[in-house]
Amino acid sequence: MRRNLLPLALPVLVSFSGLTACNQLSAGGDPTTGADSALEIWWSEGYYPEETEAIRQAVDDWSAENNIEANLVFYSEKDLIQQSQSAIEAGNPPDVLYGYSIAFDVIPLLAWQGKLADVSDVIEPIQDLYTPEALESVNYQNNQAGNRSFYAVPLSQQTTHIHYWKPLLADAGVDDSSIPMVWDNFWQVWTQAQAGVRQKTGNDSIYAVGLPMSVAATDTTYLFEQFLEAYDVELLDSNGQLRLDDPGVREGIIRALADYTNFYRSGYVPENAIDWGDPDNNVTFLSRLTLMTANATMSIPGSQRQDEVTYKEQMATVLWPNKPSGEPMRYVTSTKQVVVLEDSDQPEQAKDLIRYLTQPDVLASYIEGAQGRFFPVMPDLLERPFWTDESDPHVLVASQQFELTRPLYTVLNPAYSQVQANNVWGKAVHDIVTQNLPPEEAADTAIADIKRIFAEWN
Amino acid sequence: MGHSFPVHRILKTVGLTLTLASCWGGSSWVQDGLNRAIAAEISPVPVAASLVTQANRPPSDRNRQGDQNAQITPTPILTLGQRGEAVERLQQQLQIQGYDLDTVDGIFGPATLTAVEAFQEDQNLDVDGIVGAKTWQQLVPGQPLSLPSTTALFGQAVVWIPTSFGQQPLLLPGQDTNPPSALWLLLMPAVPLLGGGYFYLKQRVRELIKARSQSVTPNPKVPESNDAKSVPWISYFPLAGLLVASVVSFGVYVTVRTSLIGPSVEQLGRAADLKQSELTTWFDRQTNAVLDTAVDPALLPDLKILLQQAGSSDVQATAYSAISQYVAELQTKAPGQQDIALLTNGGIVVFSADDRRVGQYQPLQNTTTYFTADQVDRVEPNLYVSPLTNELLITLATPVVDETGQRIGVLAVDLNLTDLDERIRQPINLSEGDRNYLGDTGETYLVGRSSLIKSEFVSKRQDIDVQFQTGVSSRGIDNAINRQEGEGLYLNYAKTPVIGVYRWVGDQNLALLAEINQAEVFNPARQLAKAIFFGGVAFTGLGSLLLWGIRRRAQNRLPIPQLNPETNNRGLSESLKQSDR
Repeated sequence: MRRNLLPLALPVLVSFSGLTACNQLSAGGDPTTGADSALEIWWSEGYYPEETEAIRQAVDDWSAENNIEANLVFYSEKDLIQQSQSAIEAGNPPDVLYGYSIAFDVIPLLAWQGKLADVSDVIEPIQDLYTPEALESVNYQNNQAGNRSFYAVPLSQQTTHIHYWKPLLADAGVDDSSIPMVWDNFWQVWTQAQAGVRQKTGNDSIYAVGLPMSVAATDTTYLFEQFLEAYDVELLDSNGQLRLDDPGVREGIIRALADYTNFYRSGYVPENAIDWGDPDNNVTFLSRLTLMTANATMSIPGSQRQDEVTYKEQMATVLWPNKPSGEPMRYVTSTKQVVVLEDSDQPEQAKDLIRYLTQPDVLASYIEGAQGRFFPVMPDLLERPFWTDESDPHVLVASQQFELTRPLYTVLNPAYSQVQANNVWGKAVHDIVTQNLPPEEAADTAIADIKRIFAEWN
Repeated sequence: MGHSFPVHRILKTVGLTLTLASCWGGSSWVQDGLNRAIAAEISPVPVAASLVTQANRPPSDRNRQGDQNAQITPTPILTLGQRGEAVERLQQQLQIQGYDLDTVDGIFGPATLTAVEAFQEDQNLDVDGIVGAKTWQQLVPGQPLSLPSTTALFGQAVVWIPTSFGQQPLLLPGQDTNPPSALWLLLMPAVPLLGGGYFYLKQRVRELIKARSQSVTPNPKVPESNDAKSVPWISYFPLAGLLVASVVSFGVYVTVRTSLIGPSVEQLGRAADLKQSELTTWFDRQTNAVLDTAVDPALLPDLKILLQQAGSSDVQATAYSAISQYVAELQTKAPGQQDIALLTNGGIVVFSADDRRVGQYQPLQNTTTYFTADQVDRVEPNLYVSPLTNELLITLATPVVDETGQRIGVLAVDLNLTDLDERIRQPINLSEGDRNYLGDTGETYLVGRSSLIKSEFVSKRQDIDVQFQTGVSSRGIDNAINRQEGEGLYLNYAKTPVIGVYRWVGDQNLALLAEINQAEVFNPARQLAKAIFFGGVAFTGLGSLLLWGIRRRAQNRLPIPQLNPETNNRGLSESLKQSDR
């Protein structure tokens, strides 16, 4: 009887042979990086040429001094994250990698996976130059090697800042000499000024607040972390363990989500903020289409340094208000760090470049060349005139902010970098404003996502 | 016998339902479903469905191979204000057909519009001034045939191309065949199986009824079937013939189909080479044009006046006006540039071809692609969406420097992505009058990463914007965006099964794809399989008739048994035995 089944089996075999033939077509590797002997350096492109030129100059100087060819490639942050992940997955990464958001999205994960070179030999000779927080931020657990060590080198740090336009506020008839520090009153200054500004300027495209509401902007995540801090939400304990089962934590998340998204739902945030990328709140604010904005770096005043009127007279930087509890705001900081990839075929040259970049004078030139966008992590650098200029209205405020800080949760547990990479908070915010999801539901979804991510890591 | 596996009956019933399914009008959906399943790299598994390979579409006279007068394939939808080679071809065709057009300048201006409207009126088309598919069809009669290599491989196998696979080489999203739903993919294999099951159950019920009637009137020596017992192969001939026809046609289909993939991939690869070269040339031209503008001595004094706010307001207004005039002339000469703006060192717009931008901010870097003269060979354009206009843009920028070499501002140029898109999607005609190199459904296009979470067509066409608001994705697109190059069978952005070649063009920071619908490439295989199947069916039919005649003649020679139910079967049996002797 079995022989009678052959006619039925034949087409199956034929079709499988066809499918096999189809599957012979396959993807090739990355065509753009190859066995080039030059040191491959991927760097986050600055927001203005001075920033990019500063690092280009430093790399060129090192290259000339050591007679080593270096290929410095700049990517905008959105491309850098995606391109570096693709290259690492393909086993063909650059030798050196730097980006401002990969510090909290990608680097802790790479260190955990054993994909970063141990750079203790770079840091140890100069570790006394750094703040303890900066060193703590680059001391990562390597799950492959089963050890904890330095897998990145600190360059600078960032936190969140608030800027506003004095002329626009004056248009609304608001005196900015006494902006209240009480949480609700502080935000009401801007929301209540919106109508006045529009009336005075005749421009209905001007909005009060420039908070991003998108998944595409890492700023959404970062700024919402600051809102969580405002509501005293402690997602992790000091041992890096989740505290999400604490009802007070859930309640705090809901309040922070409701508060953050209410600006948009009440019409105080530009409508396309749901699609913004990281530069877009800068662009909208600097085009004077938002009265105030919060931003995750000092890039906004940094971009206007060359226009003294704008920089010193029209634009202002202000401290965040006190927390709703009345306590002073503690600023969430992230250390910007450069890494050497474990798969680099020139790790010593890569480390040598980083040694060069972290010489105080060279590092100072780079950070100051970036026009104060990021803040130093070497206390000695803060003594330089750039940071002590009392006539600089923006740096002075930023300096005060860095006196009361706490690091992002990635320092306590690298699993939290996956929370950042998955845009958990960005999705929650986006879903509330685009789908009218109740903050309670968005909070529960986010909590479930975070628990799942942590469970996968443990 | 009653408890053994009745394979011969299942074969018989499956064979019958195969025939039914083959002749069923929806069989082309089976084909599409198979392509789709293979493209998705999953086996459709049900054998009966796989056996059905025939397309049931009538040949179209327009697409017959004999129509060798196919002209250059029409191109994208054209409207007032558009420019480029496609417009030139439109104008040429209008002139050839006697419409009043003085020049062929590649600009869709009022004169071209008037001619198009006159043409549409003469052809009884909707007079809307838009050159879409219908207007192109009337304007350029005849369509190219299938890929030359596939035609050469299988000679006369290419009979026709399904009209539903488009009259335009530029395949607009969603304009191709409607994809079969998942329900059809389930139903198609179920049809022959259910049909087979039905016939089998029917047969079993008959047997049971028969057995019951025999138990009422026992007659243990009655044979089951005199015909079958005497000449069993005769009754199975139709089944065997249909099964062989199905299996052979399917086998041929799969074999031919497989052999068509390689040549198609080669062609797509060559198309991608050409387009990549065009892409590089286009960007080189734009970067050099930006550099040339920034140092043009005819322009520089006016740029300085605006950037340094030198002189009275009248002087500045004169400078602004002069720059406007310069830019207007430049845009006529260089269609690749959409808008030109002059920025302060702080990124504030002090001049723009679009006055509304003055006073707004344009980042000097990051979203803007900033380069200096010594970096011109390393410009990697950055795709982004402007938060001020929500437009997809690539902006090139270069410093404007004074006599001392100090940067006094930045010249920023928004590239015309519509122009780039048209050039990349332009059908490849290797020589004048040649048909499109990639057949009817081939397309080449660019995709870029516009945000952290979204890839988009490098295009400003509003129909695409509306249809793909959340971005585009396919295996080819995703792999290319992830810096991989390769080829394969997969579902494209519109979920149509395609053969595709994809590349990451690192220098331009964009993904380039060349794809063609599997339905078009595999059509020769389908036609050949169809011919074999129907040939087999015809042969089986004739053979069955012949055998039926032989058997009938043999039966006619036998004595007619008496119509006594008790002796009928016995009498017939004995008669047959005599006949056998």
